[in-house]
Amino acid sequence: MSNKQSPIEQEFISLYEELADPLYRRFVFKISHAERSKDLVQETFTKCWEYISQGKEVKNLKAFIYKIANNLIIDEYRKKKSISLDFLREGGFDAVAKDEDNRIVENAERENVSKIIDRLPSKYRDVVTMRYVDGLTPGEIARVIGETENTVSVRINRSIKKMRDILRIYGKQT
Amino acid sequence: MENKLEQLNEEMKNIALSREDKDKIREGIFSYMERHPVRNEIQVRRHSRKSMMGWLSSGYPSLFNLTHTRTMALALIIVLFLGGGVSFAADRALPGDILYPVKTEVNEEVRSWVAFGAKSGAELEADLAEERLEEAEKLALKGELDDEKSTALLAKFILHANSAKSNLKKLEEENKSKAAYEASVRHESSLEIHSEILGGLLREHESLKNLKTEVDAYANDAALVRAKVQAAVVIDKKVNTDRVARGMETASENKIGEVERYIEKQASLSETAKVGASLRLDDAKAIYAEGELKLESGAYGEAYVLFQQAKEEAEEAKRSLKTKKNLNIDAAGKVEINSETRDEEVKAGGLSESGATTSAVGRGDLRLEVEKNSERENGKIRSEGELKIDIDL
Repeated sequence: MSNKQSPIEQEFISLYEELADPLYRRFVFKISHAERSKDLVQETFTKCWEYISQGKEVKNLKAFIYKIANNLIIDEYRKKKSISLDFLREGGFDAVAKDEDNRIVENAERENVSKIIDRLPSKYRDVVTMRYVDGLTPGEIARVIGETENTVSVRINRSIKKMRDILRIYGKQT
Repeated sequence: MENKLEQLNEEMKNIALSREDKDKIREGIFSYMERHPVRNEIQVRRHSRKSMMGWLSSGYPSLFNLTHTRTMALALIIVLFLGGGVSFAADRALPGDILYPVKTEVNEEVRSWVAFGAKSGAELEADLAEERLEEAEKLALKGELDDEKSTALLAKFILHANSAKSNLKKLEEENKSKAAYEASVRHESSLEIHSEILGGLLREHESLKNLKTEVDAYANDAALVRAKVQAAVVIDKKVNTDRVARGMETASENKIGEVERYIEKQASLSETAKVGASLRLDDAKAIYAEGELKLESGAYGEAYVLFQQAKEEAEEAKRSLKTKKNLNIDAAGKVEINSETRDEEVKAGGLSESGATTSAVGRGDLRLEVEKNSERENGKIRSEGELKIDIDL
């Protein structure tokens, strides 16, 4: 990389250092595939750069990157529709490859919590995921979504309440 | 629940990228950045415009020396006589062109005859407002936007935008929340697109400053109107049904597919423009997915709104791409005016769009619909498909 980095490039790189792990966690949480998740981290940032390099101004770069990441997750789900992990687990064969690169990280409890989170409205889903999956602090979350830290804390508490309700309604069927 | 979440948090903390992986990914991002540097300049190249006058004046020299109104009347007669050829050519006219009066007073006039009811009125006025903006942008790019023209266009824009607003208000009063919502979404997004374009052109073209200020103001206004109407439509009993939500779900899905195919077919545009549109399309898909969740949980009103948003977002992706094509912002960032794209659209006959929703697709198709209607009324104005004229403006 050249020595003279423009401010936008510097900001972009430091954003990568900051968000690479949280995003990686989010991808793994959602798609349970380590290697693919690494690709998605890279794709998130290259897509973001693609947009910036057109000279377009982005008001909140962090929020934008999260948006891209979420879209990539949705795309992954669509691709996966044809081969559902549930089918593989229930139906016939054991498709879990256990070598280093293709390790599919399975965890029943995590699946359950994930399903409950999915049933939350997007506002709540976002903060819960950022807090407990990505590992961001309420302060960091506040900066991403553009609210006050107080609002974030309140929203997290409400989310937990809602999750209890959802668990009660849907019981242990998930 | 909180315990489960804390547990989850603890587990997730153990999942992180190794230093090695992190560096490898960063290298990948760096090399991508090097291949795609930040684009700052839009160089403007003037496009030499072949004049319409040579072709027409040779046949009818006396016509274009007449005064405005008589030109109008005679132009109308020519339109009827030649079956729409002149009217078609006029559609690309800009203020200062000979055929511009034909465009505003004949073509647009005919469209207003066919626009019945407040909804069509709202959509038509929104289209006309947008048309004035495009004219200003094209003139600016050609270096022909003087004070007089810019003031005139600004005044007309305000006229149409106000008219669109009052039509929307009428729809609200008539409790037609669905119609009002769809019209307001379209209007808001077109203003936002043009605000973006004008912003991009502003540095090189100071003459657009006043127009941009107005557009921004109207865009803000339109956003407020849309939000208000959106709140009403979500709880409207007529909208909050399974059938309506699923109807919009299908429309949205079709639109997303259509735009996806459209983007793929674009050979002449730069990769960055296409990726920009793809990103917008990704947004549309994400919103669509949210809509499906709402549909599943029975929140039909909200699902309807989300599907409509997804549809509009996809449409925006296509429209911004089309506008870039019309203004021809190519890979090197050079800009010129391109009138050829219209031929392609018209030759294709605009058949991909169904008649009912033509307002969403550029003016060529809307004009197509109007001409079909006119055909029924007086049988004298023929439709596009039967008459083809090769003129370079």
